[in-house]
Amino acid sequence: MAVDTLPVFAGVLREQRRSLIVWAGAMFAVAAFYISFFPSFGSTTAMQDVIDTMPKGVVDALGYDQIATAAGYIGATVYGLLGPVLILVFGVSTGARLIAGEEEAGSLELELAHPVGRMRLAGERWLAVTVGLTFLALSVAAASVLLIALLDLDVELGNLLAMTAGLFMFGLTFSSVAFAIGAATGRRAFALGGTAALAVMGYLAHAVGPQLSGGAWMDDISPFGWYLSNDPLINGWDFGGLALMAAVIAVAVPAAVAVFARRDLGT
Amino acid sequence: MGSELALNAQELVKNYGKTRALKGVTLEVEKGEVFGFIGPNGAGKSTTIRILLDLLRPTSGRVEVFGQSPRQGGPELRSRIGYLPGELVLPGRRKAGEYLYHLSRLRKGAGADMIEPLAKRFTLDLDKTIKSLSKGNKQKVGLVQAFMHRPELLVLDEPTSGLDPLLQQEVIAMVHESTAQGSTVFMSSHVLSEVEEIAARIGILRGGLMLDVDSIDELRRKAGQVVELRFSTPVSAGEFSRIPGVSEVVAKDHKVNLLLHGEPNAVLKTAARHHVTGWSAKDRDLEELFLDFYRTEEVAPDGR
Repeated sequence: MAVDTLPVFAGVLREQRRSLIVWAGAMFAVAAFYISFFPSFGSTTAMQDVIDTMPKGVVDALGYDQIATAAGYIGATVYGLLGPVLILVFGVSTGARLIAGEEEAGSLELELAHPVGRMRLAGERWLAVTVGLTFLALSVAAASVLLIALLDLDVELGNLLAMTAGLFMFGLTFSSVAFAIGAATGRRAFALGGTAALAVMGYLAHAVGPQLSGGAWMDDISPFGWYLSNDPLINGWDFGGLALMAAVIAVAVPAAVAVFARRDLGT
Repeated sequence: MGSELALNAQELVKNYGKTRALKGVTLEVEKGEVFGFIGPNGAGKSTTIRILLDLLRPTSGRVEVFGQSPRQGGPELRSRIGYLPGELVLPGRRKAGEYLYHLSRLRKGAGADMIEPLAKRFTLDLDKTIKSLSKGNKQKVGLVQAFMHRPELLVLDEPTSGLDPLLQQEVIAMVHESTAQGSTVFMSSHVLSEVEEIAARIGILRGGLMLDVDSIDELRRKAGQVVELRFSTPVSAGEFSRIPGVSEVVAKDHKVNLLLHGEPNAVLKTAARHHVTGWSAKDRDLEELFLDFYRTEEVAPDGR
């Protein structure tokens, strides 16, 4: 069992399980709550009338251009706004804590004095973040599937899976960046601050960049763009976007773990 | 480079940015030995210890644990060490027992069988969450995890801090049991009396330098004896202060007090020229010698 083969990983999950359950429950509830509103105004012409009065730039920035369809509504609200915000908060704070936070607190010292290599410890801790984010993304998907079935909405389940994979990878990208900064520097504040700054820039590049003349490229370098711009809930799998997010993770995490393995453990 | 050494550090230097925490620490600890590592707070004891555990990497110098550098020895080497950190931080939300079993899993299960017996011995409640434990009880959790897998080398950083005297004795008993089974013990303290009882040899660290490494007996000899002599008539201090090995002579009325290093022969002969009405000689408190070391800015006085 994982408890014996991946003891660090198992230990982190055990420590996190309560907060993870609360987070998953909250995300399930938020998603279900949002979707349950769709029949009352999303599908009526009233919503479209409001959208029509808004400037096109604002509508595009919010991703509300297809809000009158179920897939457009769920994509813009649950997966386009609250899902990413909540998963960012969880992912970045957890990523920053699992090495840098615990290192600063001092609780990493005893584990590292045991027969566990630095690489292994970091790898298992990163795996714990990954599993936590999977759990949260799946709870959003579960709420969506449930409400789509209950309300008989027109959303393809394959697309929902593609969108959920995007949400997961989006969360894992920023979580891994926070994890990597923390592992490389040992400073939780750097990890949180650096990642928050990147997320804000990424959001602006996605939401505002394309509105600027000659700024269309900005969306192409933003994880928000990689995740949202192809509307997977409407258009299905966006493998290009997923691959770009995977590439960021594949570069940042191993590089940071290599630094972590070489540096002094902070007190 | 004998394989008989459990620890071997040569000219160990550690910089933190521009501050030099260790300025060339050299120390050798033989297998099966109990070594006391003494120095004031901030002397570099914990820095040295954390290098042994590969938590820190030395700036220069060589360090070996059982003939391997901590860096190269890696997890395999650490499986032979039990470590009690000086600043023990435990995850508060976990239960003491659950966390101890977690730590034993990091050692592939080694020591799991000892958790209950050791907890009983220390009267530690394994079902309590760590944050609800007192400082002393947290220290017990640290002691259990350090001893449970019967390590070949115990590295204990201020092990008895926060423990009541009864438990301090229990720790000392456990150290004796470990050495009886062939373990080596390296323990630090900022108070000499804590290690005086169990350590055969003592290293004194100050300002990142080893001031002195000695056996307890040698330290006692260096500490000298406080001698008091009483005479029927007043005696001058000058007679005694000329004797080699004698210092701090104070003559007052019929009494002479002095500090003696080495044989008492010459002192007794000088005293015998007068009518001696009483005398006493007692070993100087090691703690005082220790304070001498602390006070001296330069390398330690040779005690003479």
